[in-house]
Amino acid sequence: MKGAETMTDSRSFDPASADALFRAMLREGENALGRPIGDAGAVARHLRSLAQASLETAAALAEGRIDAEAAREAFEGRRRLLVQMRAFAELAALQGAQSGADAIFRTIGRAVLDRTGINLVPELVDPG
Amino acid sequence: MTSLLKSAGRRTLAALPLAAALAACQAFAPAFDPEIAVPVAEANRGAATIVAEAEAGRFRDSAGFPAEAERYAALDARLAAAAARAGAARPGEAAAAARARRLLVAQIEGCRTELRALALIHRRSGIAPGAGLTEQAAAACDLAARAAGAAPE
Repeated sequence: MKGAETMTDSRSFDPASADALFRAMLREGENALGRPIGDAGAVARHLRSLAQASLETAAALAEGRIDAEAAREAFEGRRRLLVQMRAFAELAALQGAQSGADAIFRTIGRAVLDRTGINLVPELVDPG
Repeated sequence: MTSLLKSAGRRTLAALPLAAALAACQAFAPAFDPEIAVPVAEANRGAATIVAEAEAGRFRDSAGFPAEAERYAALDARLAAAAARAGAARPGEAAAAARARRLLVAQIEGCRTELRALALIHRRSGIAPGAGLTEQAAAACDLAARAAGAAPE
């Protein structure tokens, strides 16, 4: 990953290198997902926090505030979290598709109810 | 849509009930379930509180872990119950919906895993603030809460 160099070089927290690292992680994430993540949204926000946390971990290790095992565990956790983010994005797409299907059938159900008085999709159409 | 239906013939209208009944069920993702969403949201709040306290330097010392162990355990138990409920297959479940269900379980388990990892660091060495040790748990549990709480509408 391109940001790795920035990460190990940083002895103290530097917003500019956190941003460079975030951009690198965003690119990697988009490559893995095969579609844009974008700057907004939960996944991008967490990616940004993770970039920042990575620099903090590197600085804390360099300053002896944490030991190598704690740093290793933190980076393991970040690797697991990247996998979870990818799964989250896939789940969000499926939930979005479900919302779309619900909206379509709510419209159809409403139209059928208006025309026939029969509510075919009571879980979606409120007769009131 | 209404005007379209008014111009549609009887036969078209007769076909609609079947299509509507089929598609109204959960083709892509399981329906919102408050019995999953509520405990996961609560666990997320509990995790966020632990993270905030840790980043405030309250858990620097591993000697303080036994006093906090119960909090981690209670969150873990809540999440385990929610994951078990989310993991139960629905009868006649569509393939995509089953995939979504497993992805939700993975989100909840992700929160559990990162909370456990944080508890281990806490027990072993204490949690140094400002060292990027808590962000994973905060993020994993936030994603789990979002995934479980996806709006029913």
